[in-house]
Order: sequence, then structure tokens, then C-alpha cells
Amino acid sequence: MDQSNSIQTALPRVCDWNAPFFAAGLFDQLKLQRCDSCSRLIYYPRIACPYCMCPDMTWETLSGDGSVYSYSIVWRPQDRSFMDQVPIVLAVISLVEGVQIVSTVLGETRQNVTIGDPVRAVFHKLNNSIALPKFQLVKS
Amino acid sequence: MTSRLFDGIAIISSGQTAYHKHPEVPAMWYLVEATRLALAKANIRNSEVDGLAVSSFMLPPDNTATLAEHMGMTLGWAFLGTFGGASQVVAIMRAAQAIRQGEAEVIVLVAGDSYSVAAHYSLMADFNSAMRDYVAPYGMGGTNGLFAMLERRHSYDFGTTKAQLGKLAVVQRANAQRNPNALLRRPMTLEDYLGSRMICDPIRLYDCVLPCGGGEAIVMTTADRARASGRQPVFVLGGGESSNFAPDDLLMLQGGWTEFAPRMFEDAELGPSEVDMVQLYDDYPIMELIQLEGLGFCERGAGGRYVAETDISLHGDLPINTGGGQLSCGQSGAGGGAIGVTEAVMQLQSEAGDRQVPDARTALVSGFGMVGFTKGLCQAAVLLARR
Repeated sequence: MDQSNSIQTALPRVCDWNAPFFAAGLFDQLKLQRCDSCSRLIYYPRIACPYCMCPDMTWETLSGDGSVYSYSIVWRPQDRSFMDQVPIVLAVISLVEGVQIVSTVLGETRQNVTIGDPVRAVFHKLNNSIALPKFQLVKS
Repeated sequence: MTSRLFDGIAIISSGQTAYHKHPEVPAMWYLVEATRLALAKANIRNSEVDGLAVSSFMLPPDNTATLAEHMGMTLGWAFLGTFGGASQVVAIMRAAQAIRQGEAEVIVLVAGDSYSVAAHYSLMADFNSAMRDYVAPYGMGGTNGLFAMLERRHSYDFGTTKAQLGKLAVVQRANAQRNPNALLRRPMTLEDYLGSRMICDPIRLYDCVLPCGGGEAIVMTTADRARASGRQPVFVLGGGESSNFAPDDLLMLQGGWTEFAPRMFEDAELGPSEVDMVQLYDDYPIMELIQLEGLGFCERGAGGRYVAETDISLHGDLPINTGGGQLSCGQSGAGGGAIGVTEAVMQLQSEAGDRQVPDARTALVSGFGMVGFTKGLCQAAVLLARR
């Protein structure tokens, strides 16, 4: 787990239907909901499945493997508390299980990222109920 | 067969406030001032107005009814736009239907905000729950970072170049130099654009709009009343809207325009090649390409090449954002989506001065807005014409 401890002000609001997503990272796991009815994998966490409105979904542990679908190298973060992290590589990641999430690519070589690069999830703890999944480039 | 949804309805006048880079008055001032200007132009008293449509991010805790109270209007029809930069375009269609159904006879449609860089950041920090919970905690660059990812992917999939995107910014700046109300009027070359400061790679400074204070209004009424006023009526030939199109296309390489544009053109009995000008929602040049593609001016992915190969200047084959657009006028919050409406009405009523498109008879206005998790969720467009 990445233990960087800079104070972050932009925190997600944890609630009943997203708590397992944010808590899973505390155990180095990436968990998303899968609909019990239509079997689609869902991101971001929902109250009901956005594909069929079924309220029953099961949290599933994913591999954490994916690839970069697109990215931006952010030099001017909206929230200035992130300035010590620039450049931030904001990215849409296509997970191998077939759903996309928005996250960031970490590491010294992050600026060398290109579309299609393989990545793997790492987890960044923010407090005792939240660890965000972020991604490292996988050397091929 | 056409549906003729908007027959018998006309836009009669427009009003536009000055834009302020550092606004010192609240959103309410811009909304009232724009309304006052539009009514004065049409020689209509506030007491004659019986319908009001408002679009503003910063108006709360006020709303359509309290704005009507401020302006001394008694309403039979009220609308509060929740489509962000698509709101004024959607409001045109809603207002036209309300007039047709007899709910109101004279409707003011007003949009504006007291916007600034600080107000933009403050608004975006809690714009909606999905962005707040699943994007902002990663240190996003605001909307710049999101649209940068769209531009990157569009370039990767279709070979779109920075020079193609830059042509839009440069031509619009040239248009703005003929618009005394535009905030950004200094000459800009393609080299200036390409060399501007990197904000969220590949988005550079001149890909971004300047937040400002400003307000835009139009007045709509029956065609009979419009003709009797002696002013040039502007008719609504067709239109369409879409919210949450293609949810799994997170960066919106295709927008809802694709879905409704064919029907809109069919209703108007026009094709894209017959439109005299296009006012696109230009929060970023890449979004203008997505609109040109979705509206049918070119094939999917061909937006960059289309812009490169088309004369989009004021006297060209397809003038785009003839007043400079938001990229050169500024973005007055929810008023930014109304700049194109005001500009099209001014052009069709021959009020555009040095930037008048000669013999302009038809205009397409496109709106886009209400960013959700990763993209603007609302798209809309209308075809306007003088007859």
C-alpha cells in the first residue's frame, strides 16, 4: 500500500452503496459491483444497476489489471492541495474484466505513458475507510 | 412528413450584457440586465411577459419565480434549465411548445452567471455526486483534465491534430475582433495557440474558456405578434435534445446529436450543407469537432479534417461561432451556452455589425453541458431561420 500522507481535502462521501469500494483498497483489493440480474459489471458504485435497475448487486474482487484507454497529464489541478503531486496522470483505465474506471497512473515514469499501456492497481490510503485504487505501469 | 413542432412561434429580440472578467455583481444582475435589454429592443413591457425560462448555476437560492418577483412579471409558465450549457437551446423548444399550447404568449429566456475562475473551481468541487466522489479525489484538473482525455483519444483513434483544433480558436479570435463585446480580442495566430501554456496535456491555455460574468436573453412570442412588431421574426425550424446518451462512452467520442440531428434536419426540410452558419458549444475546440460530426457535417472522426478543409471564416462556406464563441467572448457560466443563441438571433436580425454574415437566413445553434461523472450529459440543437 502506498502510504503517502499528504493532506487531501477532496474526499469522496462514503455511503452505504459505495463503502465496500473504498474499503476494499484498505485490503489491497479492487472490488466493483456485479448485477445479480443482468450480470454486468458496474462502475461507479450504484444504488441500482444502471443497465436494468435491479437493486441486487454483489461485490466482486477484480484482478486489478487493465490498460490505459486515455489520459491527461494534469499540471494545474483544480484543487490546489494536489499541487505537490503534479504532474498528475489522470486516466481512463479499461479493466481486463471489461469495465472502465477513472483513476491516476503513478510512478516516476508516469509521464511516458501511452494509450494501450498495461497497468496494475495499487492502493492509496486516505483514511480508515477510504483507499483509492490507482495504477502503476507494468513493465513489459 | 415533418412534425412542424414549432410552427407559428418566433424569436423577436435578443439582449446581451457586457462581459466582466472580474464580476462585482451577482448572477441576478446579469439576468435582469439581459432581460431588460431584450425587452427594450422589442419594445415590450415587463407586464406583458407571461413566461420565463432561466438557466443559471449561481442563481440559487433564487429561482424562476423569485426572479419573476424581482422583475415584476406574473407568469403563466415557468422553466428552470437543468441542462447546463444546453439549457438555453432546450428552453427554446420548451418555450415554443408552451406558446403553441397557449400557456404563455410572451416568454423571456434568460441565462447568465457571475462567473470567474474562483467561482468555476468552487462550482466544480461539488458539481455532482459522481464527479465529487469518483474523479475529484484523484486530483483532476477540473473539466480541463476530462476534455483533455477526450481530445487525446480522438486524436489516437482518428488522427486529429492540434493544428486542426487550433484553426477553430484562431478563426474565432478573428471573429471576436469584430465583436465589441468579446473579452479576448487581441490577435492570435496558430503559433500563439500551439505555444500557449500547457494546462492539462494535451489541453493548452488557448483551448480553455475564460470564466466571466455575463447574461443573455431572447424574447419569444407568436409569429403573428412578432410580425406586428415590425421586427424581423426568427423562426424555429427544428430541434432536438438528448440527456445521458451512450452511457458507457465515458469520454463521449459521440454525443446525442447523432441521435436527433437527422430528425431535426428532416423537420426543417434542410440539410447541413444548406445552413448559413453554425454556433457550436465551444468549451473546448475538441467539443466543436464532436458536434460537427454528430450533427452530420462530416463523418464520425472526420471533424479535424473537415475543419482543416473548410473555410469557416465569416465569409466562408460554413462560418463557425461568428461572434468569437466562448473561447474569445468568455464563458458566463450557464450563460455560455446561450452566447450562440444570442449571436444567431443577432445575425438573423442583421444586428451583427462588422461581423455580419452576408445574407444569413439559417443558423444552427448547438448546446452542450451538465458534466456528470466524466462528460457533459446534455446535448441539444435548434435550427433557426428568417423567412
